[in-house]
Amino acid sequence: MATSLEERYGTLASENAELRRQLAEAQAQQRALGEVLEVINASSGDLAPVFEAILEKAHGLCGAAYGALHLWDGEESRIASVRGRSAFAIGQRTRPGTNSPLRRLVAGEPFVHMVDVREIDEPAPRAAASIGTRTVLLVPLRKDGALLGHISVPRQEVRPFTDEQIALLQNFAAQAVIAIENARLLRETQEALDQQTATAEVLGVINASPGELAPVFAMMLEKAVRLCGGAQGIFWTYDDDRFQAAAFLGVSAEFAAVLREPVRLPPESPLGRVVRGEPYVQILDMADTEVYRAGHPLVRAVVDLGRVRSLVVVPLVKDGTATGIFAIARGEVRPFSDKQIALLQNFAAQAVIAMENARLITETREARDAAEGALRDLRAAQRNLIQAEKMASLGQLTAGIAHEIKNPLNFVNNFAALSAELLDELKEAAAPALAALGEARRAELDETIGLLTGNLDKIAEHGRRADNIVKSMLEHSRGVSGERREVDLNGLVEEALNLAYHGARAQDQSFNITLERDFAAGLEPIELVPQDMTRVFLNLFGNGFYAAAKRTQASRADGNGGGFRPVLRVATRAAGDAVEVRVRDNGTGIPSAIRDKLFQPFFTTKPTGEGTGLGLSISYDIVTQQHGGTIAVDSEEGSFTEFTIRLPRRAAPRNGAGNEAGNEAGA
Amino acid sequence: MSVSILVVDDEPDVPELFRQRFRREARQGTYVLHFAASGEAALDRLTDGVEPELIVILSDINMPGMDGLELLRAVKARRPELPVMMVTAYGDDERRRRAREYGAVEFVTKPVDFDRLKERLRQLPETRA
Repeated sequence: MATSLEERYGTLASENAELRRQLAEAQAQQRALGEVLEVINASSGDLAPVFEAILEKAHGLCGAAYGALHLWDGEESRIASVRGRSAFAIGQRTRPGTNSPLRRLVAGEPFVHMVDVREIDEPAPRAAASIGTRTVLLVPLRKDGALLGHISVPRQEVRPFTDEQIALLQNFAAQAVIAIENARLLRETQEALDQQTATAEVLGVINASPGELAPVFAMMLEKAVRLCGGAQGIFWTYDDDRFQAAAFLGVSAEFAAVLREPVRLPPESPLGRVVRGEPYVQILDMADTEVYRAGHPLVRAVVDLGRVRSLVVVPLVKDGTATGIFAIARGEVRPFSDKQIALLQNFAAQAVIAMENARLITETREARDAAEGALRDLRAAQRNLIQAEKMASLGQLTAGIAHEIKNPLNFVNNFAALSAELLDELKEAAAPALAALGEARRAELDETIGLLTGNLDKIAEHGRRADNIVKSMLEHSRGVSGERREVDLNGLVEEALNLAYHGARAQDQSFNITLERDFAAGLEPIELVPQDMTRVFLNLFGNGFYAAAKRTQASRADGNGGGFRPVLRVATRAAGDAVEVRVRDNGTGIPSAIRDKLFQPFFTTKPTGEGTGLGLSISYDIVTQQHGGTIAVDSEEGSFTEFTIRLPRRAAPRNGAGNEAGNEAGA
Repeated sequence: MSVSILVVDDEPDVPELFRQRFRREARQGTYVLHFAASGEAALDRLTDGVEPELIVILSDINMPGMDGLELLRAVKARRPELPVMMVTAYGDDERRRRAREYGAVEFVTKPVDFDRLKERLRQLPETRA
């Protein structure tokens, strides 16, 4: 009984120990899986540490001293990670034989468990056996049934793996698959992001420098080189059978100097091939090509100066035509992967779109600018038209009023003059009768007759004044007043200036002003109506004298008369198919509030009787209507006034219809 | 020997003005003044016959109905040898041109310079001669 109890206890104890061991093992496995998961989570797409962690845990838990993680690409198996002392090296590649263990994994077996490789007559197991391996377990990494790789766990003694160990390794394999898949997703996301960022940056550069392609090319090139891991790059434009390097990156100064000139290239050169329709051209080693050996200078320079070895060339194709080419190179012989080439092609397509967008943006912007410009011109024309229309209608009104006044005024003047004559006749006829009257009576009658004569003189005087105003108004609106002929503008201006100056001196002996003449030499004769343009100049000079004199008076009143020196400056200048005359005085200036009214008939700032308010209005009509020119004013109160007259050398036919109509309406 | 002048103007005060301006000539019997207030009235006067001999017509241009230039053409059609002077406030080139084209001997702008007009009238018989 005691024995049996002891036995039972012993059994229980050993069972308990076994259970404890199993528990500890399970816990260790759990912990290992957890730790691998943590590594996966922390790895952010870098697989090496994940593989290392898996191998470490797996091999540790399975009691294997070393092992490797292999990746399968469909043809070859490549060692991606190694643990422990091993004959394996990372990057080592194996092509599986027909009946090799690896082939069995490819065929879909859940694992390959070789208890003793010495007993298997296959090249791979034999090779394993030759380096002291006995028992080997191969556990596949599968995704959706497709083989991604495998974990190999060799032992140097014959000791089969337990089902638990196999299950555990399968678990680790599943984790490795997850890690690979994560890394792939991350990488793809990152690539997509890189491409999108690159395209967005290109668009950003396009928007920041509208119409300028150089920075755009440089930016595209930089992105293209980065996306496909090149060392240097050239962006070529292709036009009219010539290639021209539009941007370089990582290119030496000597090589860049060679690239400046547009160049024709043989059709068998990489650039020649892509513009003839190949979707891309990859050259493993430029130094080992026919076109290099043939000795084309540029191709020679590419290798000898540019140190280009592996090269990939991708065209930017728009409407079936290559408009540009990305050429990305490495200084060593190392091929670009399909993935990198695909990325580059994708980016090239996006670059074409970006450039097209840039073109559209520029065109739209230009169209908008043109439209805005046209609108501005239209508005300016409209303003001018409104102003001209105002002036014209005011002119017609003026003419109408003048005509209506002129006839009665003629009668007033005529009858006043007649009355003065008749009064003289009366005095003559009545002289004997008057002499017969008494002294007092005669003096009274003489005084009455004197007053009457004086009144008639006043009527005649004011009638003449009114008549002058009416004449001005009529001349203002009259159709043709003089013959158009070619004259020397400087001579005409000089004559008018002298006339105005002496006129002003005759009226006011105290008047003085400095005249400055800045006449353009060699001014060609211009066709105009001399009398009328003389009127315009007399008017402007008169106004300038008046403004300068007023300022002189004001400064004298302020007690600093010596400080102000009145100046009238007259300048002529050739301006293309027009001539300009500027009349500038340093007088009182024109308040901005009344500048709009300046050319309106009857607008005057002079005291009653001193100005009719018709001078500038008439000048405006003569310059704009009669000569097809412009008259503009610039002024600053208390500082200066400058009139600028611009006359076309050949005046457009004057539009007299409006004035004709005005006259008829006035009749 | 007296001669006649026909003045055509729609202004009612024109006859008064001319009578006063020509009062000495009228007194001396040099000129006899006749007046018509429209082109139509002037033609009627021509048809009726003017005595003494009519040596000139002075016509305004702007008149209601038949204007001065139309009257000029009508007169020239009937009496090509009879001088016509146009008197107008509108001294523009177009009217001058048409007056000359239709055969006016003189284009007088208002206000009329009567001294110059009389001088011109004195020359008329000589022109005819």
